[in-house]
Amino acid sequence: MTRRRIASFFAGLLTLLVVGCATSHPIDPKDQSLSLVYGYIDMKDAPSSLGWVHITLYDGKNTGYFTEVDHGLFFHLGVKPGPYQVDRFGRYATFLSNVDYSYDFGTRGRNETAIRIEKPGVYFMGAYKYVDVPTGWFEQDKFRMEQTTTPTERELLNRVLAMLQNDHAQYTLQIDTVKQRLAQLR
Amino acid sequence: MAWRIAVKPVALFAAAFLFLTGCGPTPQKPVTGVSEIGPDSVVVVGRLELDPPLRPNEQQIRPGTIDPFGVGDTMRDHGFLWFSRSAETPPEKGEIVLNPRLGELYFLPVPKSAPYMVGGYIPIQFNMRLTGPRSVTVDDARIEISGGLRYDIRPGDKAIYVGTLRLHRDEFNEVIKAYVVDEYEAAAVEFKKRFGPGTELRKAIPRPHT
Repeated sequence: MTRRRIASFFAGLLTLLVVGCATSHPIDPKDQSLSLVYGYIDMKDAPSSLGWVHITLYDGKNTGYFTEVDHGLFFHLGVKPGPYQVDRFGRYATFLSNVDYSYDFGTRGRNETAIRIEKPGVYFMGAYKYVDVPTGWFEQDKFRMEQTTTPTERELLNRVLAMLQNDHAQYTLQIDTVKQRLAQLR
Repeated sequence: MAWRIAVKPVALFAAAFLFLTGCGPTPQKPVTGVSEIGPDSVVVVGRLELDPPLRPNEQQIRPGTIDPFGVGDTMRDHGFLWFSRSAETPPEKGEIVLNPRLGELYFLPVPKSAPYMVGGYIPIQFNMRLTGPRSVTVDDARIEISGGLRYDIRPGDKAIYVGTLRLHRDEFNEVIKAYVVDEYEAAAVEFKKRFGPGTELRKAIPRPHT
């Protein structure tokens, strides 16, 4: 009887976990209200690599998106209209390091990545470099984010296009919009 | 270019906890009677307002599993205003901190020797979480309040009215306009109810100092 109860408990727990994992909403490829947002963070000077970037929607509900990340490039192809900026970025624990890293991009008002999406399109949040700031032994570590001109918006958007075509080919709306934007950047 | 504090995993949870609870000055306690006002202090009467106001659940304040010092309560629906003897003091290095509840009239003591309001903030997010066996991260977001006000505190003052500091914010929580509104009449009525008719509440709306 007791074993059955334990088994039921774990079965219930497993069900909850599975249901919980399945509640993230997939992006509808036909949804014409969505925008593609992208940017770049150079982490050569940082104590960790870049594993995630979070862009916050400033609607008072503290929601937002975790973007896809690839060698400093970050993008999300299903962003709804609203005011957004990067608030945090970091890296989760890895096989070789059991420490999560989290960096504050600037959450004391507006920062350089702020965008306001009013109509669907492609929005560039900018390219930035993590710059370490030396501090004393007992001081909290500091850094600043410096805007950079390399890689260019065009180079980054070409990388986004390649990733969309290879990994997200069903998002034809976004692919077409990116191509149009690339044509403007020529 | 703004400086950002890296929430790098070097601080132990205990160190962060001590930092939160022990290192800064304790917020001034509200004055409830005239006898509490010493000769070197003055009761500052005013209000701190945010426009648009905080929405339900907009603040995310999670100071940890246990919060014996009530750090979370000082943040929820409250702001922080730092005062100093010198106008050059950086915000958060001020010797005195007021912790008024947003939108409510406050009655808080300030030493006469610290008339400069050097800055402040309204917490939007304070989320302390363990990120490793020996590391802690604090997700910290806030609405920053510029300093640069000098309160006109005179030697004979017992209480001064400093007005309503109204902060207009944009969608990114940047204060785009701040000004002081004179609501003396209503404040004087409230002051009399609390302290009786014998104590004068002198109007001393602060002006930006140069």
